[in-house]
Amino acid sequence: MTRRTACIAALLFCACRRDSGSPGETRLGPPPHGPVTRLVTLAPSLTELAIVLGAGDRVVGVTRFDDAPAVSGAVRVGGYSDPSPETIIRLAPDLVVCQPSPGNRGAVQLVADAGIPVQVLPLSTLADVLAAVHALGKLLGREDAARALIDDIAAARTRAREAAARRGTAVGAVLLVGVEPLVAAGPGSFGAELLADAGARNVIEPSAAPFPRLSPEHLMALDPRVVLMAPSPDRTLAGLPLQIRPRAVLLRSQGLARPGPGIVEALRELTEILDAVAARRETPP
Amino acid sequence: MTALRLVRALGVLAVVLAAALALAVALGSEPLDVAAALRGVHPDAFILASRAARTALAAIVGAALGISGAALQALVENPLADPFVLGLSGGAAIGATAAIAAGLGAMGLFGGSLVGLLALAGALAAALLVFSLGRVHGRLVPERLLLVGVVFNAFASSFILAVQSVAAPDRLQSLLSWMLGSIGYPSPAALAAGAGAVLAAAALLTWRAPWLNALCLGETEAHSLGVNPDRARATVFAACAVLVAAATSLAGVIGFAGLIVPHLVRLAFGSDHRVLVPGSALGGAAFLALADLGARLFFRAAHTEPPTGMITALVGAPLFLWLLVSRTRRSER
Amino acid sequence: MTPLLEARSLSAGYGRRPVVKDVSLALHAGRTLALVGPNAAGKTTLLHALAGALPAQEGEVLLSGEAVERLGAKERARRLALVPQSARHDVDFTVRELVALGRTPHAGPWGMETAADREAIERAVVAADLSHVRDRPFSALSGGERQRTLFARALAQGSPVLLLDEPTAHLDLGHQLLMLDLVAAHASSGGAALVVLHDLALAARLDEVAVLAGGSIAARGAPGEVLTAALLKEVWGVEGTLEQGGPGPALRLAGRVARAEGEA
Repeated sequence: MTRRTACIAALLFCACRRDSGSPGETRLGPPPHGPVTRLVTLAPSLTELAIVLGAGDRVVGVTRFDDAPAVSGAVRVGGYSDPSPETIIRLAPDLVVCQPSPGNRGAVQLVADAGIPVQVLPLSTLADVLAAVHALGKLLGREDAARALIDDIAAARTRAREAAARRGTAVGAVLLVGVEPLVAAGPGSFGAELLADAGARNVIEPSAAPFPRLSPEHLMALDPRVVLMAPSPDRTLAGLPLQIRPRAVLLRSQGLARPGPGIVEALRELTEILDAVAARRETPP
Repeated sequence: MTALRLVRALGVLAVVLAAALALAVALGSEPLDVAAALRGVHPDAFILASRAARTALAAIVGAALGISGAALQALVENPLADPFVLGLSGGAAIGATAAIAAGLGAMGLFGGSLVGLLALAGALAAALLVFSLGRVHGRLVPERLLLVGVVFNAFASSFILAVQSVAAPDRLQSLLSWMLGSIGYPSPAALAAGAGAVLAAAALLTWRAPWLNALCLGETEAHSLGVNPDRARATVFAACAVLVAAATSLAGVIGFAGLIVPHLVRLAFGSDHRVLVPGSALGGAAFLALADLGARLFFRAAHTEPPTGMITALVGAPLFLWLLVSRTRRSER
Repeated sequence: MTPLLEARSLSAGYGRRPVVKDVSLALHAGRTLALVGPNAAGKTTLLHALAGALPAQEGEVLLSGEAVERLGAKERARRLALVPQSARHDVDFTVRELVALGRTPHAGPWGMETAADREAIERAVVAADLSHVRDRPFSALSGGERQRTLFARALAQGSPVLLLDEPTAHLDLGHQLLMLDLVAAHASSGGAALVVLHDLALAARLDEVAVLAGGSIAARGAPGEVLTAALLKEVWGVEGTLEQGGPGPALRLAGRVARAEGEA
């Protein structure tokens, strides 16, 4: 069995993408009794949601990947596929929220068996995000904030679509969530939904997988006018063919990589970029 | 090999195992008040129970790996063999990969995960394939078995790489985690099934340990001693297939344990398989329980629990090299 | 008296063509028989066929009058022990452990050693002059010590019939003769031995000699009668004679016989 596949995973994992395939939100363990004052989140996207809903001070346990300053004091309970059930149980939370993953299933089930309410919130698609905002708002007693966020997202999407209509042309774009190897956001992925909202034409074929790997030649053949690169710790253009590099844009907002409230900012940035690209005349090489 | 020597050797190993189990339950990523837990205080009692289940799983998987490692080293007449050398890990990995990539990972069946069950099916299918291909004129030939197993594992590797290249990132992460092997929190059903299978196969191999002694000498010699080499090899292969299939379905591919533990037991108690076989089961159980404890203790420092397979490799590799060197020194004396 | 070992029109080989053709011989208690012949005559094949390790393609092998196929493996092992030419060098057992393995056919359900086992093992270790290396691992022994260990294991097995494939191959002169003495002692205590040997002078020290050439028995009888100059010329292609008398048998060789074209 080879170990070098670990390197592939590390790079791919920068994108923190979740694929759909779960049956929707589910609850494990007993229902929450009383108000939720102690919350454990098992993914930075969920932490972000909690913070935006105004419940950041209730978060007592986060993953080791959480870097939001609001939760700097919270206990680190593990990672995506290795949360420590013992640590979570010791924190005596009123609610644990997590994303569905084969890796954390055992640990999360154990936490539920210990009598702690668990809410499973997938965040693979836009619909998932909206459902999660709604559910979390209800659980935390922050329905108003939740509704406001949902409205914000809806407004952002409308703005993006209007801008797209004004633009007229559908700019051919590709969203790269990984660089070595090249991995794009294909049909059915979260990034692809945002591209569609912003009026870009996703150059990835409709028949492709949600996260297809591209060879540099394939990328050249797809001939996108703009290559959007999701933010990652090691931002490099090294994996891109030379001719493509001038078309690359390094995104600032986390929203394309991390489904959550960042959608608003992400859509705004996308619109900006696409408007700029559409306005630019094609200069001969 | 007198009964007294056997009981003494196994007695020592049983004590080691008991100590390892006690440590593994008392220590972990969080402090545990054992006295309070035994009184039924929540959540200590719950944590104790789940640790006990997890440690039991580590012991069962460790025993399976240890004993099948010892038996396979005799079967293929190669002290460097490990339980996965005959393509059994490749088969299990193919089954698990298919399950995880298809998104079945989060689903359960009869209290066990679908991933585990498909890994089991994959390992058994691989065993059948390797068994039938490893025969010449209807008889199992060790060199042929090894070759077929190695080639099959290579094939499985490339299949898995191909699947990985199209898998979604989070499934990829689960897949890698599975491939490096980790001990999770088992359901009672899975634990019972695993224990039953491992116990049965281990008992068979212990009973037939004299056959393994004879096989070590070579085919003609075994025959001269009244042992049918073909029947012996087929029995050992079948028992090992069950053990490895059970171990990989419960915990993924945990390397080094099956390779190291028989050598450690040999160092301490000699090469007679009447001690080596049951001894490797006890030693393997202790080894993996401690490796799992190591993984959990690592959490305190790094907020991450490495896969148990990583701990066994980190500990196992230097240990193995040291063993190799000391063996060379011994034979030079 | 029933021979301890008997082959009747035995043919055996690997694959379809037989290497050993139509061999009949009988070995009685108290007798030692040397099996000699040029390379590739089929001596090892014959030995394996007599031991039942190679199935008979034609004919049959009888142990104390019973057909080998009809005996269970354990019973067969209790009557016949085969000592092959060489053993694997990386076997990790000590000398005593290896010799103890000879008791496998006598083992009870749990395979634990009995007092009778211990006695047989001790006797074998002492007889083969291995007491000083009993706890040394096999891989650390000299060639001669290894050979004697294999023989000791066969002795410990307690089988009346011993089949030995070149047991003197790596031994010094003293130990070569020791080995033959052990074989003779085994025979005089009621057993029988068939020994494949290359050295004709050594072979002449046994009770009888059988010559295997081209898969068939060319001659059998007392060494002096069988190993004539004519036979030496015909089978081995050498000019020479076997001289008995004096301290022991000796082979005097003049040289190779000039052969016709195309022959070795």
